Amino acid sequence: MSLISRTKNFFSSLLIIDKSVDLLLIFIGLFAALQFDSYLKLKQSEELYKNSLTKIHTEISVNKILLKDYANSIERSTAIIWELDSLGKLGFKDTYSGILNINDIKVTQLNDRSFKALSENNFLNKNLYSDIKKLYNNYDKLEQGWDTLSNNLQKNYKAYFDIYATQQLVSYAPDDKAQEVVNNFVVDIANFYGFGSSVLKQDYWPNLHIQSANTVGDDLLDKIEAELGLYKVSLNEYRSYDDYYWLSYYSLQNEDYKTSLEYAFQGISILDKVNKDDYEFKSFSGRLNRNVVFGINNLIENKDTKYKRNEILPFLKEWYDSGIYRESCIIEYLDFYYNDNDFDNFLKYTRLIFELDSQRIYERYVAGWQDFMTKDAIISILEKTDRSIEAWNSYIYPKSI
Amino acid sequence: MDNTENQKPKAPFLTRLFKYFNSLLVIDKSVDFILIFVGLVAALGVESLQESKEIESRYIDMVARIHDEIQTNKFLLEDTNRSTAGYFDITREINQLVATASFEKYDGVNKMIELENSEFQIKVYQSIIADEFLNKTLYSEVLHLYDLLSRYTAEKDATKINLTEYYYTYYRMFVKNQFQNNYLIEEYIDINYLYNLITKSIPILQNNSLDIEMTTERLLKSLENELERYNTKLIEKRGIADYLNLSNAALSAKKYNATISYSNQGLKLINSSENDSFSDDYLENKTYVGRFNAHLYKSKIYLYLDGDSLYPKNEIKKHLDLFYDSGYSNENSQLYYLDYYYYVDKDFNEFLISLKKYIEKYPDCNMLKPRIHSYPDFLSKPELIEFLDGELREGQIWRDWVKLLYNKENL
Repeated sequence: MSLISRTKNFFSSLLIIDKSVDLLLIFIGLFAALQFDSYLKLKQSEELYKNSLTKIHTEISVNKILLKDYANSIERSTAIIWELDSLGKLGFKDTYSGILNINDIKVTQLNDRSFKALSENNFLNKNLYSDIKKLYNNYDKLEQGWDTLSNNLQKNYKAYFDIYATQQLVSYAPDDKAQEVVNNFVVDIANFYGFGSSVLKQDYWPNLHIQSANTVGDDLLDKIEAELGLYKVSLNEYRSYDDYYWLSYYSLQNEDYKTSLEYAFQGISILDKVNKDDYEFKSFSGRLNRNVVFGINNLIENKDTKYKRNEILPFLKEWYDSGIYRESCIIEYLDFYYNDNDFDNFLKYTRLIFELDSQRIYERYVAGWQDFMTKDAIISILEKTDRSIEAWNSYIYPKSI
Repeated sequence: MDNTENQKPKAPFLTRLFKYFNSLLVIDKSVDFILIFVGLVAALGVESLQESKEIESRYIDMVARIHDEIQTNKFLLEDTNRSTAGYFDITREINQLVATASFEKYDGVNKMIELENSEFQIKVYQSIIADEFLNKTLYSEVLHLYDLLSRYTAEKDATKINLTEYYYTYYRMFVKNQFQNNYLIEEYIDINYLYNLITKSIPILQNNSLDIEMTTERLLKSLENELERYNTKLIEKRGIADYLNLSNAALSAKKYNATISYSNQGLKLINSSENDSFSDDYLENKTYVGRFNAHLYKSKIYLYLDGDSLYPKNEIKKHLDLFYDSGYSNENSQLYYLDYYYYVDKDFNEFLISLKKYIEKYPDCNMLKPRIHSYPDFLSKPELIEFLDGELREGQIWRDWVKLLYNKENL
């Protein structure tokens, strides 16, 4: 039989159908496998996306706290301008602690680390991403506006200082320099009023950016929560202890102690699920418990009656056990026992602080515990250190230097 | 005979089809289908596993590198703290001169130059790919630390500018005073303002530095912990250049024991091919050997001078010889012999021999000029005076070089 006939016989219609079925099955098999793989990848990127949404939600919430700081600082800057203006009207004859006052109103830069860590490609809702970008653009504008305002405030105070000091020293100027003194004086006056009014005018833009950032921020927080809702998850499920830590930390910085405590408690409750031997657990546990201690102490100082001072003790213990910032923790114990008039425990923790490598923070606090620091038992501990008692006294009685 | 009559009548096509696709074949095809599916899923799985292993490996490298950069910055921060204290001293000294109206010469420029230090390193931080930093919590902590560092740097730079302006104002007062010009109102105003500005910013700098230091300590432990999770030890990831960088930063922070430890570990990594001139790494490794030994020499000589008897003289000399033999920074290594024979061996003859060798090779004496004053006990020896007078070129007035202040820090 010829090759052609044999081939024809071999590729009978049945075999062709058989091979067609194979082809179909390979196609469906490959297609199904690829679909399965892309389903897994989609699930993975959805997980990352939900995580990114939570992180950006936390960052915007933190920035909302910091925006209050900006608003207060602008208000305080304006107040300084008016205070200087009043002193100017009285003839620039009084001193003014301008440098200290200006240093006091320095703001904390708005956070953008979660935004920087966002990947546009992995951010599934592009419209939302675009809105987030607009908000961060708004933050940049606010910071630039604040920098200009702050610089002009410093120049305004410098001009005030120049005018004040010139008046104090003008009698020492020789006659041939009188014209020069007058000329400089005129320039200083022009600078004083020029920079002062510029601060008053320039507060318009930063205030507008704050208002806009607050409105856009609130809207975005809602949108992000709604977006998470599409994936049937709530924000709280995705927030981790580090989210709560930063929220608590910045609330504390902004002196919003109640909010700081709420976040810290939430963070601590999540941390209970983490392996306690892990360093990450210790790191966050230490800091969250520290925030609780600081929050309660500050509330008590502000005459809030919800907490009693000894309620910090369990949180102090957790903080101490974590080993994080131990020197600061012992200082809190010392302060607690000093206020409690408990010398035995004060002595115990004084001994513990000298077991540490450094007492650099401690030395700044000893002036606040003068009654206890001068007791024989404490002095005998201080005598064993590298520093002389005279040197320690300069810390205990700082004004006596 | 008609062939067609003998053939069996053909069964209908559908019957033959169903007979062909019997249950066994259907099962066979189904098994093939499952195998195709499973095979491809497995292949894709392996590919993605390989990818994630690669990302993991890059992540581990990144964690190790960022750890070392933060460790280096920790040393640099200690050096910077010294500068901050130095700024305060300069401000206080100038204020004293102004308060007593004794407008003496003040070497402000040199004092400020001596307080210069390296900027914080940010190369690794800048090379981090956010998507590949797998532990986002840790990444957020790293960003926080570098944010603190950048704010601290800005604050420090502003203080330095104010200090420069402060000294310049004093210099104007000094010069005017020299020319009997007593009109100093503007200068008095500026110097008062700047004094307040500097003295009030220094405590802020010190507080920020403490904050950075504590955050750094915590973060270094977190990064080490992260490496442990991937069963990786930090030292496995460090290369010769990493050790050199760390050793250099530790030396600038005057952490001599840490310098010695890093240098020794770096030297251990340099393989035995160092002595093999045919090796590709020969020249590169030779300079590394030189640099590590220079660090070991400096650290051990400082410890020796501080009364630490842990390192004998011959060990210090051995490092110096290895530094010299490496050929790296030869002029420096020759000068270090002067330090060694003056401070450690206290051997005038060897000192003179080394000085002769140095001047023969480097007649310009560029590096000797700022150091010669640091050997005061030998400078009065007749042999040395005779040698310098005879050997130095016209215009090289070595007695003028000696007038510079004695400063052991110039070692």
